[in-house]
This record gives sequence, C-alpha cells and structure tokens, in this order.
Amino acid sequence: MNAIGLLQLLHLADSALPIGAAAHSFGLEGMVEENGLDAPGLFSFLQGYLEEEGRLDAVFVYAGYDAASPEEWQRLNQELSAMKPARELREASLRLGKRLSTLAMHGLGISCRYGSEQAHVPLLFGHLGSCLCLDRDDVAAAYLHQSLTGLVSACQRLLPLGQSEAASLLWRLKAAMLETAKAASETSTEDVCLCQPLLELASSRHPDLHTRLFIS
Amino acid sequence: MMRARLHLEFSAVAGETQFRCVQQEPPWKVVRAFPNPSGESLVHLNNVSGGVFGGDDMSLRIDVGAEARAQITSTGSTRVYRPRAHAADALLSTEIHLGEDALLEYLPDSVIPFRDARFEQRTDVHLAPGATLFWWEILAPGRMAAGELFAYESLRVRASIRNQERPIFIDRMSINPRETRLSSLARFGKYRYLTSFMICRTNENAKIWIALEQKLREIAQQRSDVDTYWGATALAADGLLVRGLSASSLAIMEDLFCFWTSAKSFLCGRAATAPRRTY
Repeated sequence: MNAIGLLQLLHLADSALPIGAAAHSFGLEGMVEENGLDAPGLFSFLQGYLEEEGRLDAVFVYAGYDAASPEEWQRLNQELSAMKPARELREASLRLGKRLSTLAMHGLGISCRYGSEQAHVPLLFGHLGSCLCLDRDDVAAAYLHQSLTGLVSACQRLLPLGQSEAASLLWRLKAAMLETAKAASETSTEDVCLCQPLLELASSRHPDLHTRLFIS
Repeated sequence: MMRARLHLEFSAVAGETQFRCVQQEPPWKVVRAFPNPSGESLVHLNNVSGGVFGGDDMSLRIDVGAEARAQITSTGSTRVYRPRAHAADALLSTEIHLGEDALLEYLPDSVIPFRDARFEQRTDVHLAPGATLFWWEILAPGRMAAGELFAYESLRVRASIRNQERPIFIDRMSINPRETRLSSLARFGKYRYLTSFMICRTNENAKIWIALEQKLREIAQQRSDVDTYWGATALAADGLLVRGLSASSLAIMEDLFCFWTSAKSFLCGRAATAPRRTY
C-alpha cells in the first residue's frame, strides 16, 4: 500500500471519524445490564463477537468492495438488512452508513458509485476502499479494527475498564481480527452464517432498559 | 436412508379452505385436515419412522392459495438420530408459498438432535401481497433427560422469508458444538434452547410493526425470568421476530402461545386456536 493510501485508510478507520459511532454500543449495553458481561470476560466475548458479527460484517465489506452494479449494491443492502433481525443493530448500521456516505462524498470528496441511498456501513466501507484503490484485505482488517475499537470504547463507559486495559485488549485481539478477515475473504454472502442469539436478544430488549447511555 | 417428499395444498373455495395432499411418500404421513374454530384448516404432520436418520433427504412443500387459511403442526418433536459413520448429513428442506391474502400458521414441535447427529434444515417462505405468516421453530440442545447437552456434531439451520423477491428475514446458523464455544456470551451464554417466532404480513404499514413490537416487548419482559430470556424486534420490513433463549423447555410453549394470541389478535382481529390443548 502506498503512503497516501495508508493514511486514507487510517483516517477512515479512525474511531473518531465524525459519523456518530460513539453513540452506539451495538447491543453491549444490554449485555452488561442483563447478561453479566464484565471486564474480565470481555476478551472472550469479543473473540466470539469477531467469529459471528465480525465475520458477517467483514464478508459484506468484501462484497461492498467488489459490488459491480447498482442492482447488486441494492441486493446486498437488502440481504444484510434481512440478516440483521435486531432493529437497533440494523438501524445503527444503516445510520452510520448514511453518515459515512455523506462525509465521504461531501466532506472528503471521494467519488462513490453507490451509497447515496440507504447503505449499511460495512458495505459502504468496503466500497470506499475500492473507490480509493486500497487493498481489499487491508480494508476488511481495518473495518474490523474500527468496529472493535468502537466496542471497547463503549465498554470503557459501561464497565470499569481503564485506558491501558482497553489498549491491551485491542492489541491482543489483532490476530483474531486478521483470522476473521481471512475467513471472511473465503466466504460468500450466500454462505455466511451467524449464531449470536444472546447478543441479538440483548439488543432487542435495549429499548426497555431503565437507563440507557447509548442509542443501540 | 430415506428420500421422501410431501406436498400439501390449501385453496379457498366459497369462503372455506380445502386441503389436498398432492404427494405423500413414506415416512411422511398426513391423514386429513380439520377445520378449527378460528377458521384455519388444521393438518398434522406425521413421520411414521419416528425421526430423521443419517442420510435422510426429506422435503416438504406447502402451497396456501389466495385467501386460504391453514394451520400445520407436527405430532411430536423432530428427533434427529445418531447417523452411521459414513452416512450423509440428514436434510429436511421445506418450501412454503403463500398466495395473496393467504394465512399460514406453521407451528412444528421442537427439533432434537441426538448425540453425534448431523442435520441441516432449510426453510424458504415466499409471500404474495397481503399474505400472513406465523411460524415458530424450537431448537433443543439434545436429549437433556439423557444427559445430552449439545452432544450433536453439527446443526445447520437456514431460513428465509421473502416478499416476492425481496428478503424480509434471512437466518443462517451453523452450530458445531465441538468446534465452537456455545456458552460464550456472544452466542448462547447460559441458555440451551433457542426459539424463534416469525410473524409476517406483506404490504403492511411500517408503523404497525413498531406498534406490535412495543406490545410484544411488554410480553417479553413479563415472560422472562432467570431461566428464560425473550425479546421482540421489528424486521427490516413486513414482519417481526420474537426470539427466546431458555435453560429448559418447560415454559416455551406457554410463552409462545402468549405472543401468538396477542399478535394474531392485533394483526387479524381473531383468536389463535392452539392445535392441541397442552399449551
């Protein structure tokens, strides 16, 4: 990857990118409140998360990178919506996709072929990587890194998790992120599976929590 | 090893639903349809072999014509037996077509994969405009009473519901207990049984689903306890998913009946008639 490409990818995958990701816990708030997710169990949980939701999203990052027509783009977005049954998780993905699309086109001047309509964030992230001629494996890995960084950041607000512990956690998960990206590169959108009923249930019940720090 | 096909057809004639068994191969067995008090034509699915064996390839097709109303249940759990070493994975594939303004209540008993079982279940539902679907499925972890807890080798569950070509719901689970830590909080946590209840009607206003979600979320809160965890959520369009995880099977049917009666009254303005009296 050339230097400008590396910097662009670092920029897009920065968790501080102003698309509103910090307002979402993606189900973790419910997991902490109702299912006993705690700081010591976080590493194991995030490994499982990568193998399930992480892989699903990474498969669709690749699909977004490779999308060849507006019809395929629309079909992929519809499929991903159908594969994300929990409303808040689905809406979070669409909301972040919309804000990323607006930022990319109007703030960063990236010429996108798709994404002006509804777009899920993994698909759009992959598509932006393609538009910028970035390496597709790097794009998928960077997406997973960004996602995990966002989750760990949410956990810092939900759990007694210090900055050093959070940094250590993310450092130790990097190999698992690359394994997930590799598995995703070998899986089609028609074959990808997902088994995370507890997280989806926690997300479904999130609107009924007594106090909520996050939108999702 | 069995290769067996069952094809059921329901059609509306002068306001009544008529049933026809188009094709029936053993071990499938359907005797006849019974009208129930809420207006559906009830059919019981029998598997006279007692379960699904390694290498079995069983298929079920259900056609519910325009304005017809059907209710289909099974006569017991789907027991998936331990296969011979070289047998292919057992397969049960179901294809369902609902015509305009048709209604189907597809309420099978649980799937119980025995020790070492390898099983794939595929279900594809196609909805025409105005069609209504109530469909639940219950996945057991094995024969709990015999001490089997996720002792099967593999379980693949693929489900899709489409409004014409547009996907409403796609569920693809591949559970390999020997390779995957199912007790991870990212998966089942402390729970054992997974129940999914899909409630769909095409061409319905999106606000209806948010309102029904609210109603069923309240029931989910009421019916959840230390051993049972229910949730309800609106799908991307045309439907809603009620899902539950539980440590035992004791309350599942009773809870499902609560969700079903509430949702059916909300969507159809009619009572739900249980296919048997044990709920």
